[in-house]
Amino acid sequence: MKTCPPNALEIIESEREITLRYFVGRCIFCWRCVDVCPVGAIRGTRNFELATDKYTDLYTLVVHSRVTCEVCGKPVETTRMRRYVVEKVQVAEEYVSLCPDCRRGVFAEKVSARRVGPGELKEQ
Amino acid sequence: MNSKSSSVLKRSIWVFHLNTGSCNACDIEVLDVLTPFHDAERFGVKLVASPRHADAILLTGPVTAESLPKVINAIEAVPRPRIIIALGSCGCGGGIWHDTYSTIGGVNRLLEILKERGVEVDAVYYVPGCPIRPEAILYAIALIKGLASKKREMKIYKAE
Repeated sequence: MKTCPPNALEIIESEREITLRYFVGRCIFCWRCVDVCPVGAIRGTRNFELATDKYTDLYTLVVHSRVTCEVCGKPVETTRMRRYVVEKVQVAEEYVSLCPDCRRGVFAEKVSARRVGPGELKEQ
Repeated sequence: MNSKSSSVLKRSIWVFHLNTGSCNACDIEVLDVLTPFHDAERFGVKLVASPRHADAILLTGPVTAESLPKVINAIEAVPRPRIIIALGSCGCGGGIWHDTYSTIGGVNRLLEILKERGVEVDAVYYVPGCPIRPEAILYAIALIKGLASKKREMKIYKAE
């Protein structure tokens, strides 16, 4: 989205879902999005028969559902993104269902539980 | 003319090429379409020198603030039924310059301004591409004349 020079590719966030909006009427076909997409989800085409008489025909939307934080219930990333993270980093599974704020809180609690005072380790 | 043809224009489309501050790439493609290789004149398309002779306005460029009064004058001079063909990414949605201070960002804002001034536009066609390929312009002509059917439509995909 940052890479798109004319902002033809936009992310629209709402409470329940994250929408990728592609507006071909503004696209300059530089294919920078194709180059930078880390998962190769975007493909370029050479299709040029795009002429239309309706403005809304030029839009393409991809609607992703969002997952919510298990602790505070705030909407976080998309469902597909979470699955991707779990596949890539198995160790993240413990924290993956939390939002960044709650994750920080849980991590701080765990760290603080292991030490009692400055320089002293708690007796097991 | 067959029954599929556009209800607005029944006969040859005479176009007035209106450059509203484009980078001239689209204009060169328009010239390319009129060469014998692509030969848009076989569809009856002809470039005319005055908007008073034209059926359609070929609008290229993102409509700069400087050109806006002239653009409105030119469109007002076209006899009814008047159609606008927005060529290229700049004409359709403003392109790279969609949010800069010196352009109004494409044909949609222009249509709003025309509506405020009481200038009616009978049909608008959008031809995206940066620059538009000559084949895309030929396809747009065929679409306007009813020789080809529309292929593009709004798509909504659901991902999980």
